[in-house]
Amino acid sequence: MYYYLIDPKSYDGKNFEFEQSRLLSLLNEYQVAGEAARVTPIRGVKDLVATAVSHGVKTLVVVGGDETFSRALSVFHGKPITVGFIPLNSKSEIAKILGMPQTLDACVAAIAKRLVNSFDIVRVSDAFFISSLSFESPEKECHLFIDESFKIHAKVLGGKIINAQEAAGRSANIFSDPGDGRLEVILAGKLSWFSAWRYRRKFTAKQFEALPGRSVLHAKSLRILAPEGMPLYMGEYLIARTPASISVMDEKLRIVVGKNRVF
Amino acid sequence: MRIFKNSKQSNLSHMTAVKHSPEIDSSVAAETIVGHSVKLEGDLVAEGDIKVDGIVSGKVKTTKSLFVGPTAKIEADVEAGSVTVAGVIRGNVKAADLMVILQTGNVTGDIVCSAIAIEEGAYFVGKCTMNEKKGNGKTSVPLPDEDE
Repeated sequence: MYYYLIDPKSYDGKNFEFEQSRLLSLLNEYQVAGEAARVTPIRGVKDLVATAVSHGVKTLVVVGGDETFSRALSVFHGKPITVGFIPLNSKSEIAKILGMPQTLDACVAAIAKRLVNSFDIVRVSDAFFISSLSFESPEKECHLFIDESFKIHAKVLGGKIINAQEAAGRSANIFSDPGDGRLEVILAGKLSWFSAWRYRRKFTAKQFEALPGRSVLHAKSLRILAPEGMPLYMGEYLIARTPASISVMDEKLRIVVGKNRVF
Repeated sequence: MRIFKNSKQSNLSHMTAVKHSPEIDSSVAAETIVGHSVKLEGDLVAEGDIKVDGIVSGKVKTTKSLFVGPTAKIEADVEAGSVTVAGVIRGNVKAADLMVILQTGNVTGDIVCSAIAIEEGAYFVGKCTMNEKKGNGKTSVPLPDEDE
């Protein structure tokens, strides 16, 4: 049984009602129709996912953005549910990682094809994500405690904690396997004026792994202790603030992927 | 018969082309890099290559290779498959294979390795113990007594 959670706030186009009716007719056409619920101010993402879980849904498809998916993940993680994702905006990093196409028709076809992979789920404080986190701290020293094994003190420009990453933002020699149970921790060191100018575009795009003098570490869990109050972003969505504990969970997520996935 | 041979060869060449197509090999353990602005305290244990350009104190361990950059300073015991030093190590080093100290390298501590190479200008203070080479004890050079 399919359950579609539709978040209109994530839509970046012009006519959402038309897009929704097109989606529902495509679901019928590909014979993957099921119950569809729309996120409203009264019934939010978590309420709808909890309802779906209580109804014994086997396949939950999130139709929205990365923020919608992260909020839904905090409820359905650990449950025996297969998850799908249909992006409603072009900026979705999760869609690019999973190989979900940009067109609605191709997305529904990918859901119907039901190619399923296992994914690591990462917990940061009370939130969850499957892609990557980034932070910037140009003037302050960062303190990290990695795998309860060693501490890092570094004055860095910023950093990234990667479970999975889209192909465009990935450096050739850093491959993030989203099923290996580990995170890649990238710390961007201070640059000279010339390097800062030369790599300004990569820094603006948060491609810290492509900057010279970067650090690359691997961890199953880490704690960011300082600076306090530093925001952690999943894309453009503020997910948590430091101090924060980040760890890979034991349970895996079964998720429908497209043929253009990056792993 | 020639037709069958040609078709078989073309099939084999196609298979060879597919086999050599570039793919990301995720089975190779990833590299760990400690950048120049990073200070690390504790036990750094990795599965793949380690490259250090910052300051490390504690312990460094890997089964693959360790490269200590010119700006690096390690105050720790080191254990690796092979070690290349262009920076500073204050501690004991255990290399299963090759230990190389480059011209800018500075090692203070005991070394245990199978093979060692020290460039002119390198600094080393300590004891070096070489692992015994495995062999059958016979050498190819004839002894003087045998010639007579």
